[in-house]
Amino acid sequence: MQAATAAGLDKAVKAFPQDLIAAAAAAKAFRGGLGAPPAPSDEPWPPMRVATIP
Amino acid sequence: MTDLAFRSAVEIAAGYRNGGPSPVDVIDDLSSRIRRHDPDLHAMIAFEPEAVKAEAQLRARELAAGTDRGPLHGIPVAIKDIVDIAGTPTGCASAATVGHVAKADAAVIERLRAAGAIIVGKTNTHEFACGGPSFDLPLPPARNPWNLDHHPGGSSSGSGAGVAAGFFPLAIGTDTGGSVRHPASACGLVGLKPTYGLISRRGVFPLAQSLDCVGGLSRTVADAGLLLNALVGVDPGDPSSTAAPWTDCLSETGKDLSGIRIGYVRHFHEEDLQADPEMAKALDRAADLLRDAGGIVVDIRLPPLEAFFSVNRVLLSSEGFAIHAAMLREKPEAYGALARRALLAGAFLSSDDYIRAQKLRTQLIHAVETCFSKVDILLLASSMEPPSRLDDPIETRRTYTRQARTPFSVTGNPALTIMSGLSASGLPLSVQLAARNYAEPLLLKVAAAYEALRGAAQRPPLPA
Repeated sequence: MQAATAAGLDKAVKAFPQDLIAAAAAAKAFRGGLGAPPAPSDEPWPPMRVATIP
Repeated sequence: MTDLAFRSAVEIAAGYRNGGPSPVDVIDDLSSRIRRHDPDLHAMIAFEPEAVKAEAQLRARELAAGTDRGPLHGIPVAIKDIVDIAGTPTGCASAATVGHVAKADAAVIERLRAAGAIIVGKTNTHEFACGGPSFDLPLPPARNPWNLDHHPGGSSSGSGAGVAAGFFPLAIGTDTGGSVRHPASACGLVGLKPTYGLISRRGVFPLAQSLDCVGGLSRTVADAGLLLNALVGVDPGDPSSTAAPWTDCLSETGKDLSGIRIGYVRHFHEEDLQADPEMAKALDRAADLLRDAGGIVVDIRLPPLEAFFSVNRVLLSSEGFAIHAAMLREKPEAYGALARRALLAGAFLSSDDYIRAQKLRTQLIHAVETCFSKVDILLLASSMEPPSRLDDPIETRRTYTRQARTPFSVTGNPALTIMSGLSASGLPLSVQLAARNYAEPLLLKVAAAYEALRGAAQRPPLPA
């Protein structure tokens, strides 16, 4: 609920806490499906490469 | 069952020019069918028979006077209720939009009117084209004409239900994660999501701008092509709008598929998910038919289905929340529970998640492009099973994750679903075909060949 409050969703926190719990669970599942983030040095796209890594 | 109700747009158009029923005859017939069946089907959100008849009379007078606007002249087309029609409400099936009246026609409406189409009315949709079939909205959800107890797919649910029920031969839908192809699969239709950017989205309420496409639903492949031909065109009002490299998407014809390489993506429905045996059998049968037509059918692999699904959902949730955030903060009670939950998911995703999804999307686009260097067309599942019961929200929810439509929403490639037969329970089965960007002519050629080999589609068991 802290994340929801930080997003300005105070009214939803009060009125629809179950919807927020379901939404957070869905977001977690979607994020999990993306897999682990690559190390910055493994970025395959030159524009996304972190310039300071040798 | 009336004959006119199930005539294709091609057949209706031919009749107009060969002494057959006039636009007024067609509209009278279809209107009576809508009045009779829509109280059970809930495909329509707005339908004003007198206004539609006046439009039909205008189109008939034009034809009589020698003004022929082309293949869509006098053809009835229904519009999903997230598309603006000037002077009418764009309700998005939501209580949150009360009082909103469109000031101008959407680009697709402009194009349909210029082509002489008759705008039949607004069709039902999931709220703001997301969530699912809901019973806490201003109107009940649409039902499937093949079995009223079942879901017609979504989010373009009324467009699918209405075309399948013989209310109109063509309907406009939108597709962000499969919302044209899902109702087409569930209702036994052809559903075409064109290449991203090919049809302008100006005047269409957005769900997720980097994914949203306007598409069409029809009962035949030729009708899908007619509609697409009328809708393509660069529009400065949509920053993603691009030009088609062809002028007629129906230019490639013939049942001979000799030399066309067709990649059969089995792992989506055999490994990544386990499809219903009837759906799997329908896919194998489609591969056999395409091979019989001369196609070179080979197995091919894409990245796992879950990768496409997750990228689609992270992008859709993030972009959707950005659109709805202010309203969700101020009036969360204005939304139905399913749309509220779907849109709120974006509040729990970070910029890191969004950027990571976009990076992965680039990899997935590259993987699909690599596949299309080896084959010309992909054959794969659309839904993994026939449509669920509408009174079973858990099963309905489950089917939204058990599909293979998100890959081409993520990559932007054109994709088409088409009926492949009926299950033992009398519900539609389907297959999906996809092609390289802007290869709609080839996609429609292969789909038309499959349609011819498959045989005539059956009609839903609705009385006349």
